[in-house]
Amino acid sequence: MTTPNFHPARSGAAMAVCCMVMVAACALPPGPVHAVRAEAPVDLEVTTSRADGVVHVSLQVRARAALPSAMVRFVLLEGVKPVAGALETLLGPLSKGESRRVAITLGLPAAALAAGVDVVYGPARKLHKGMVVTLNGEQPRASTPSILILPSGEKLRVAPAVSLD
Amino acid sequence: MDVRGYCDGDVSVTCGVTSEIERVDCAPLNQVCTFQGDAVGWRCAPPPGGEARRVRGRFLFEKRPATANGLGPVQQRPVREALVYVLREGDSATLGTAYTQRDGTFDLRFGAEAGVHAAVVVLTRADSAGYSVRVADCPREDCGSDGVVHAASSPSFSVGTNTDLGTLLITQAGGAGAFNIHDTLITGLDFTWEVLQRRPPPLNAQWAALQEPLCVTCFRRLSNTLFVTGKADNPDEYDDSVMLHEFGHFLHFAFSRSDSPGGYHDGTPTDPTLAFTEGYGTYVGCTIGRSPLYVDASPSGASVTDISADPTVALPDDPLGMEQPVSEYAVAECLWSISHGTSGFSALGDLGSFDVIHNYLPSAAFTDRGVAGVDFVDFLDGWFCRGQGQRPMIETIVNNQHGFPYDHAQLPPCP
Repeated sequence: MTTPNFHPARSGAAMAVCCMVMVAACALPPGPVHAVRAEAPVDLEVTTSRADGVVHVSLQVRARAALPSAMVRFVLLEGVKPVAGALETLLGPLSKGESRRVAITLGLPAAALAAGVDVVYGPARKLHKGMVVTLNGEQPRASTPSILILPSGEKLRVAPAVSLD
Repeated sequence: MDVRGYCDGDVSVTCGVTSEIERVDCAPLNQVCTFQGDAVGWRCAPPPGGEARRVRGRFLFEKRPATANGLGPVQQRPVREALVYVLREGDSATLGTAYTQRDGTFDLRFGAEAGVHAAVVVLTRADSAGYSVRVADCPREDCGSDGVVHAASSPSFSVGTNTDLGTLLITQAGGAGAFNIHDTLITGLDFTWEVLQRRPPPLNAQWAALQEPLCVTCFRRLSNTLFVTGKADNPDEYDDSVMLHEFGHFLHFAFSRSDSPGGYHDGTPTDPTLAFTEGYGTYVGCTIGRSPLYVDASPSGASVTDISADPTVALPDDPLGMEQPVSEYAVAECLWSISHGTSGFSALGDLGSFDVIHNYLPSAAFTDRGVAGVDFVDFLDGWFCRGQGQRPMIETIVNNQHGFPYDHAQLPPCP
């Protein structure tokens, strides 16, 4: 079974046109912007190192404001467990500018993990800030688009659906 | 033409905002049900050239529900109210169109010669009279166009008189995030029709995996476009409450009046016009989502705000009085409490608040108090102007629980 006549936009010419357009269309259109983003007021920094077949991951948390209570969480790929260190660590209150470091050691070369901090302000409000850490040096990449052009000129960014039957 | 509908096999089903549902069986007429454009809607029509063909199946997408602890396990949800094409292999000619049903099923009748191979493609787009939605892939506005609509394709098949493609799953890697955005907007548009009894204008969304819009996640009123971030450390394509907050802005700008200057906000006291617009967005988003929890999930956790608990308290003795900076959470909490009740007071429902917001604020009866422009003070004035009453409850919620010094004694005249 094959998919219809898709036309992946991969050519060098297409890329060049894309980049020229990027420059020309860089300015924001006028009008109000209504953004919403509520993140914990912390700075996060991760360092990783490999030795003896394990990966050491160290997350530094620096408070940008006085925090009532903070907790660090690591989320690993399914099936990956830490050799040393806990997936969740309660830091307690942090004063403004204070830094803490939390480390775990992984026995498998996981491709990526997520790390984050919860700051609990009370029963009605919790703020989180997280990051995705890659351990093999590769950044996450979006899949290459398959652009289908219909005779009407309409373009579709098509991915295959998986049959469950 | 305020008609929406769909094809239920050979039966065309149409309904207006106030009219009864009309079902017409096309089969006895030797016709098929097809969408014939916004001006006509869903009607019986002769089948196109070639032999009569039929293909059916069901599209599902993978969803990661946003929870208070982060993104939950993968679920499968139906692709609702989405445009479906049958495309001929080779030249991508459109052989037939339809929309998915509420359960994700599709049933297409079309004409084609024997031996033709085709695929069924479902789009994050709807152009019916009831739903005008388009989810495209240019969140950074660097495409030189409005972007390309996301879609998912079945495997190729040889067209027959009756082909069943079974269940087709759109995975996260296959762009399921775009289908969750489409699904969330359909939920919002249903609310617009059913609760507000209004016809929503066309709505756009822009999202691509791993890409972050210049405004992160936001709504732009000039283009009626919702931008959704796909950035790896905090993507929003599964954060329904975040998107429904932005959908609240869509409703506010479409059917009410906002004087918000826009820009950054984080819940701390700010410009009252900004606070009112943002608070309304959170309130209506939570109302559509049927939960007081505003959840912004990431791969490692979630930011959570509960607008039904712990009132955000203003400064009753602030020398600025009713013109003091206001927290958007205080606005959202007050609106939620009015609708859902508070200690000693029963829930009033949402219709009173929506009446004020959608009928009073944009009307000639609107009288500006508080700061210049629409703010929470004007909402409360409109509440009483529209005869919603319940002053003891409003005093309890606004003045006592939230400490906002609303002046009940100086209500403006109400024409």
